[in-house]
Amino acid sequence: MRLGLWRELRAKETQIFLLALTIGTAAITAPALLAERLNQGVRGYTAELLGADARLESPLPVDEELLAAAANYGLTTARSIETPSVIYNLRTEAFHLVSLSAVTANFPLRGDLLISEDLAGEAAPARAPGAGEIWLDTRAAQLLAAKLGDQMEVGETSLRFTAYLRQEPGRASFFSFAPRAMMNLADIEASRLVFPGSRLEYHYLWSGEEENMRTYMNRVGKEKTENQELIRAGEEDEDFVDLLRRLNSFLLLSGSLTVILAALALVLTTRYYLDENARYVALLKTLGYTPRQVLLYLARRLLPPAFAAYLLGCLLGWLGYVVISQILAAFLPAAESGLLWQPFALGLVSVLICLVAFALPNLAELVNVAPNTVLRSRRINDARQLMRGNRTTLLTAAATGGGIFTLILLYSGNLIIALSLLGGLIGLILLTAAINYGILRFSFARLSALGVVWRIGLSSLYRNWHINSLQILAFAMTFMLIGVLAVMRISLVNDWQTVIKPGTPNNFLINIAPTEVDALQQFMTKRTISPEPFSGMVRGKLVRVNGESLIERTKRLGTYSSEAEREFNLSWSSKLPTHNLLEAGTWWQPITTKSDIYPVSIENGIAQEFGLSLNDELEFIIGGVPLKAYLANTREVDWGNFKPNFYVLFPPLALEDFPRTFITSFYVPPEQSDTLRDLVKTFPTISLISVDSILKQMAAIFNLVSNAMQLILFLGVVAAIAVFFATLQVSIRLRSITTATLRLIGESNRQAMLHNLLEFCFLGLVGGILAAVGTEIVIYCVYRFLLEQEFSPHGYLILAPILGVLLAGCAGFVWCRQAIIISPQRLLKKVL
Amino acid sequence: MNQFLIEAQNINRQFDAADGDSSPLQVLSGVNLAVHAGETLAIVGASGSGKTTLLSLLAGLDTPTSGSIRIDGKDITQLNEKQRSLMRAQKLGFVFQDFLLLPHMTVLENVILPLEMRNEKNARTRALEDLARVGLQNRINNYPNQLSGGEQQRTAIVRAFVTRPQLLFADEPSGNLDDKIGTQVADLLFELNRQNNTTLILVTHDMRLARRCASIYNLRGGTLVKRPSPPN
Repeated sequence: MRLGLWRELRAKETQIFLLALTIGTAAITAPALLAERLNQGVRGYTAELLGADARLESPLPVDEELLAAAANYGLTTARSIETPSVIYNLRTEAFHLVSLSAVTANFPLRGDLLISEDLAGEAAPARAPGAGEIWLDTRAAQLLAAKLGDQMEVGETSLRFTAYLRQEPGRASFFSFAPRAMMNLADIEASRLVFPGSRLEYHYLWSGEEENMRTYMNRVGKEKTENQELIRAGEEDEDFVDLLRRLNSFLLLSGSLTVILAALALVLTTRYYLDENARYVALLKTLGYTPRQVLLYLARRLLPPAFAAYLLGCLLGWLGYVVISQILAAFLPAAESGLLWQPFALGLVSVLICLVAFALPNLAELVNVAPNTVLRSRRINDARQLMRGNRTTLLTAAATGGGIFTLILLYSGNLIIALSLLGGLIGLILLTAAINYGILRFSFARLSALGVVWRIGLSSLYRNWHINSLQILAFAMTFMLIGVLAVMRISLVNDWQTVIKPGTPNNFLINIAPTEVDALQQFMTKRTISPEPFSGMVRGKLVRVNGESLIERTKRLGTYSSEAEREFNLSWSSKLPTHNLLEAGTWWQPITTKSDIYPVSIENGIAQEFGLSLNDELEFIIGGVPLKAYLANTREVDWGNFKPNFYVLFPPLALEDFPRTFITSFYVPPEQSDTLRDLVKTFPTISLISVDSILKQMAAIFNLVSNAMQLILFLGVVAAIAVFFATLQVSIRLRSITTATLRLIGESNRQAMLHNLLEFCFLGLVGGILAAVGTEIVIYCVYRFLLEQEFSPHGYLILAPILGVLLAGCAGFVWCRQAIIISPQRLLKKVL
Repeated sequence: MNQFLIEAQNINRQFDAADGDSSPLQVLSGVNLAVHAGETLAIVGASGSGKTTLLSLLAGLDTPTSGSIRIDGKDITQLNEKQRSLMRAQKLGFVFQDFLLLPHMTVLENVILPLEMRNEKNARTRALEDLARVGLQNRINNYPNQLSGGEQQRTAIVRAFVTRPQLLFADEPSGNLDDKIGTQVADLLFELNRQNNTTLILVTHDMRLARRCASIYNLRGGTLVKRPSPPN
């Protein structure tokens, strides 16, 4: 038999089937392409913050063989040595301990190192300092009273101060206040700072192709020792780790839900195809076709258009991706490796899985159709028979479930997500069937008495509850996808906006002497700047816990790190700071009399690291003077709010006798940058730290992710609406026959409209209820298990059933209006 | 005074060619027909001669290209779809070759439905009585797909007669049934027609069925020709 491709394509059932396949492919390909590209983009940004794609920190030099291997993978390597060192200004004779970096000439591998020739002037990107040069940050320059051109003594060598260090990638944290200096690694030998026992940290930085990077990092990860730390781009800062995790979760979730939707659409449309072709296949069998010949014939009919649908789906997916990329062009760096072929392969494999899992069992059923179907079949009854249990139903259900599971697993690469979503889907199917049947049974028994319209509508729903359940499921999934994506986007954007809202402080002032506080406040008031409250701080070190040395204790507990040896900025407060949360213990009552021991509040992370419990006796050393305290409470601190935060807080009286400085943060709009220059000139001993560029980078990433999520939401909505209408289409024939028949036996147009609206609205209502419940459950699971965050219910999801009724009601109204303006006979002719 | 229940004058019906280029297809050309209340009439003709098209026009299910059709004195070609729906509900009944029973409703529900749509009292009692008259009293709770073809058509006939329509249109009512069952269904149709004094217009290619009507019209080449009265 000759292949009539064109004729096949003109058949409505084929068109619907192929439409579902095309949308499915596009819906899988576009987010996959976008996810890949976004990951590249975010990796790029986070790499800029790290200064490389990956960094290894080690107290000792790393095996040269391991380093040499990086070149074999085509990776670029840079090195630096980090050490605290005293720098001496030969001109002013000032000296100070600074945090010194000695870097190779190709530092940084990613991101911008910014320097300027003026304390608060325009900063320009640069590479590492040349040999014989040293760069100082503003604080180091102030402490050393240095001017450009001054000679600085570093160890046993002398270097010339040639630029102010304004921004450097890979700086440990926004709140690392130690003065900074940077020199060329070539000068380190002459400085003689590297000697056995010196406090050094070796940093190895790599950049290169992602795939090679991954392979090499696997090797480094395996070979690194316990005291070495490997940081990949995006892992350096908790905010970005969080951001990446959220982004990946969002993409995985939206992609997986879209896959389920596409699969559902395919299951429904395949059944429709089966229904439409049953008599035709029966006819072929009466002509003597064997089941194998029928299968081959159907395969020849379906495969070429299916492949065409795949290509079209890829094209649409790619176009969607191109449009999104164009919109995000300002944020996205160039693609790392040209054409991203993996998503297309994923699309092809998905189409094959769809065909095998969803179409094949149904085709097998079609092949096994009895030849006498051609004589006996009443098409009007086919739809009812469609969902009846038979021998292949179990096989179809198993294949469908297996297909969906494989697709999600393939898409997400995450067994837990795949199992959860499959479990959720099965649960939702059972819940849908149970709720639908329960509500209908209840309604049919009680509401049929309300009139003939109710009786017609409810009997149609009640008697066809199994078909309707599938439709409701598709509706619910459609709304659920929209709901989950919308809620996640709203929630994430809100979370981010609370971190980076307009007016977030972009500058810190530290080292403010008590005598300067009033003058500084006046300076700011005059320039309409509203700083955060000035917080006092005292440098101090925790040395003993319950009489045991902190170093010994942490070594004993296996939690030893440099934290145990460092000085903290101790501060005081009579009440719990607003952006802190009390985790354990209680806040102290006002203390008005001096005491030998004071309550102290410690940040929970540090408390855990030091193994502290409430009421532990702690001994601090402040400027050589001991201060005893007991742990009154632990706090959770929001470090990302760009406000001064402290690990250790005392009652005000406890630190009153110690010399203190103050810290504050404030926002200066870009057009007021001159203010910073004036400030530095007016208060030369105060250190200004600008986090503006970091804020801008974070805002850029948040914008990128937010825009991308909006577009993914849009894609998901398009796919969901397509599925919604594909589902409606499948039931249209039965509805048309019912409506035409009822009108022939006397149903008025009004009654026809009302009974159809009743049916559609019911489907929308139950679909909306299930969507609201399902959305909340999915969001809960995402927050609880993926993001490990607090969950709070979303009251506005109550709108889902209303929205469901409105949407389905509108769809029903539009369809029914078309159905009743033509004669019932014409309506029948269209569908029979 | 017009004594005809249904009167068609100079009806033409043409359809656009499927390819859009060829000239339109003229199915009916100047058809005239007048039927008295209580009369039985059969329209016969070859396949594709336009029998069903004519039936559709007479029942207000389709609109002629030109000409007028009056039912009970009212020109139904001037009515909109809503008005025609109302007219169908009040005056007409239909029996189709494909039965067109609602699959999700039982036999009793299918028969009750037209009465309920008219808000008639004692709908259930009347439906049960009519079903009992045709021997379907034991099948009232069955769904259509649980019935034989003959039972389905008997249900469809009861549903058509239960509202006591003035005019009943039947399109190949025995077309899907074997001879024996077809004859039983035809007996029922004429019996109910006689009892209710309904005007019956049926379309068939079965001359044995057609001969049971008072008059037979032959549709050929788009025109309707009355055949000589069959021997009684």
